[in-house]
Amino acid sequence: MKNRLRVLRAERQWSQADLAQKLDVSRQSINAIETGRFDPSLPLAFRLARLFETTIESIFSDEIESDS
Amino acid sequence: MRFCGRQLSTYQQRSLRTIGIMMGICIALSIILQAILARHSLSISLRYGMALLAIAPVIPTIFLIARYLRGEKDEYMRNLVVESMLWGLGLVLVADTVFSYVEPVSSLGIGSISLDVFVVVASTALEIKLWRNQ
Repeated sequence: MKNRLRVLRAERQWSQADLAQKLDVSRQSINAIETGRFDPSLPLAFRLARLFETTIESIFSDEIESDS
Repeated sequence: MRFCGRQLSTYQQRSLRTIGIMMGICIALSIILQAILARHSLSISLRYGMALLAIAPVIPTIFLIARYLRGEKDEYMRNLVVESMLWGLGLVLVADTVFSYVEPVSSLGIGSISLDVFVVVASTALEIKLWRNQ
């Protein structure tokens, strides 16, 4: 699954640690999500979407869908 | 408290400390009981008693780990802990299988090292996973 987390974070000039603190998760979690090593659960995806005031679909996209 | 360059939450600190202490008790007990077994010729009922004593702290430790996993808010961390434990369990199974074939014909005298292997491998795997994802 691809995501725009790094871009959204950079737009707000937040570090990974800042974002981790806002979401109450570890910085490693943010890094793992950004690098695509870990797909977050639906509740965490909703929290991310709420934090960035956007929809889940605009943050995450299915690779198959985006490739076609 | 930091673990592998990572700041731990109060919950993680408390859980890690309690699980660590319990694991320490498990290993210490296992070493002491193995030493007693090696030095003395004990009756079968005493051996059963010692086996029960050896597993006594293991069961609460499993419950502590399960409670920690239930309460861990960080799903990525939860994932890493489960993966690391699987590595530990996998290596214990491998080591146990190998030694069950080798031990009767070797002079190694390995005894019961399952728990020690599990603790070392699981914690090393967790550290490596966290370090790789700095």
